[in-house]
Amino acid sequence: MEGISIRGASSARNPTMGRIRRNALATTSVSDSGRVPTVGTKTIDVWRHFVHRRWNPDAQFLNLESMLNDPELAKHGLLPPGAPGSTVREASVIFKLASNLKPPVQTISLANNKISSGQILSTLAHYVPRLANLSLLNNDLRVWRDIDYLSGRKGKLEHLRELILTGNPLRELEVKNGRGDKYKSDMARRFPSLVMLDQEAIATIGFDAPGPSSGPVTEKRPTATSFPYEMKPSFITGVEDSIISNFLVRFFPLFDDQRAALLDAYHPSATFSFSVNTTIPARARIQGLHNQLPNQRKLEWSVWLNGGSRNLNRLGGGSGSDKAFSSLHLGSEAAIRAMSALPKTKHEISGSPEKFCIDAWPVGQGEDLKLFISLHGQFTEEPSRGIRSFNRAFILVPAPPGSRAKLNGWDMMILSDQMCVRAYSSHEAWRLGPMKVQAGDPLPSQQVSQQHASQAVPPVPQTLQDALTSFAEPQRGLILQVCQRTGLNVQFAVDCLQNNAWDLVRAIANFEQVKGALSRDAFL
Amino acid sequence: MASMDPAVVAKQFTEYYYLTFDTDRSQLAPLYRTTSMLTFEKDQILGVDAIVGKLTSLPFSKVRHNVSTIDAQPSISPGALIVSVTGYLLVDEESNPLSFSQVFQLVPEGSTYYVFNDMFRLNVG
Repeated sequence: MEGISIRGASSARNPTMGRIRRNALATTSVSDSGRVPTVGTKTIDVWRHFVHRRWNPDAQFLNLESMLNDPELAKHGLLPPGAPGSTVREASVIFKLASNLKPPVQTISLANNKISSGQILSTLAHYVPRLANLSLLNNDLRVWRDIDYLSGRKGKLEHLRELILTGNPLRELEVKNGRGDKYKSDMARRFPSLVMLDQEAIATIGFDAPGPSSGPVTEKRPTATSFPYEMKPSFITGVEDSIISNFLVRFFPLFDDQRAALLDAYHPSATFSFSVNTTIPARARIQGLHNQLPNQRKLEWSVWLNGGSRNLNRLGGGSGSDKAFSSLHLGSEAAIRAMSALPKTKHEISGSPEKFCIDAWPVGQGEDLKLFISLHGQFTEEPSRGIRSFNRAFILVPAPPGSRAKLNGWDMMILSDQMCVRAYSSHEAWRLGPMKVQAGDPLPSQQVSQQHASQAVPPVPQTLQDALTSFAEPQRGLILQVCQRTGLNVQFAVDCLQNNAWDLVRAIANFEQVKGALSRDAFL
Repeated sequence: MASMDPAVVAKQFTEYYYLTFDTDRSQLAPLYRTTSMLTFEKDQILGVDAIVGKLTSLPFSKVRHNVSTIDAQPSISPGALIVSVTGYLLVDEESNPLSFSQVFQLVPEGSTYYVFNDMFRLNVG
């Protein structure tokens, strides 16, 4: 109720505004305590009605777009933010009402409001400090100082994940003058939590191994014992992280909200199939994940099983493969048609990268770059909002110039897409270290894993592995790639890479040029 | 395994692979070549000898795989296949099953197939 931000915003130069503000707050409290309505209270009621009408609780989305065109506000002569004569007061009333919404507001769109001063928005961070997504699309913000009212050094909007400033002179001028990258990095600095800016990924996905889990569930289970093998983090070898992250950060939001738009991303002869694993994993069962999380019981397998699940394990011998074939979808249009019939999903790949495990490496022998991506993670299924886990395997190929994919901004397109949907199990499964298994007393296998940890290399007494031990990542992975794709032995693979500045593509191309002249002892 | 029906190949391959793995995993050698790559968790192991060395040195003596799902698609080179498997396994006297996922890239060679890429993860929880 103190309205600290309001006080800060209404500067001492303008005592009138301060007085108006106090009146506004007083009116609010009168209204809240249910006294006889006054003119001010009626105004508040109009605002309240407006906010509730614009509120979508399912999406936790407050739509404050095009308020100048709102007939109800016009009828009562109210001045929404962006209207001539509107001040921080009106905006503050709206944001304060927004702060009382349940469930909490995650997304606010203030698109198309002709807002020309960031000061108007200066109380947003105070009232909705945990806002995750903010659109200011098509407004009239012109200078960085406007942004200072939203961000700054005072920890404002510390949870903001997505910001849209497209269509504001500030942003458009920066981009037009070739300062797009600087604009992006400046915004990222102002909002350290930002993942998407103007509908583009601002940072690559954090592929590094997640840190120790803060989840209390595992910590309470001291009786867990270990599978005698260490879990390892995601790995990406021989390919730029950004290629993978750009693809995934674009793919999953479209898969979630606009599957038909993915037609551009699939190769015309792409293949898509999915299968369903209904088994509840042992550890998930022990933790009670299948029935303790709020919406898990509402999940139904039937929609997946009847939707063309392709599980060849249920294939009855060689002749019964018709059904399996019918659920392998050939061609981009069939792929999109099939996935459009599947339940709506929500993958938090940008917001919670630790919930995804991504392995990627180039495949293909001597030809163009093709990428294999193996992804493990989870999504929320609509409408139940229950959680499922999944594995997904993609093969990507570079989109040729002039192709439909390339024209639509996809650098890579999908040749193959396999999805396995399964019962939810926590992402702690790919936390580093020993795999935890519930099994009564602690087992001595912990010692085994400690021994493992103390060994710098896997216990494989092979000359190839020995030869590789003197190399660290990423060189080690690159050497392996060259060995696999060319058949060269380690020594020659290292030479080849060193002569090509450790660039995998160049090294392979170089090999293709000279392979005819190499003697037998160059090879494995 | 001479049939070109990818579904049947995938099914026969997985049955053979896990039966062999559970019986005597050193006998998996004929499925790999010198350019085959096994990715076991994050460790990348290249070549049939190293792969079999890795598999036989895993710290358990008995193992039983139980396959839940198999999916297969044509791969990037003619006749090749991508086979995705999920299931669970039990090691030694452990009574708690562990879920795994494994992806194979199978490449045809004469009338049979070999494993070009093999990616194993115990991370399906």
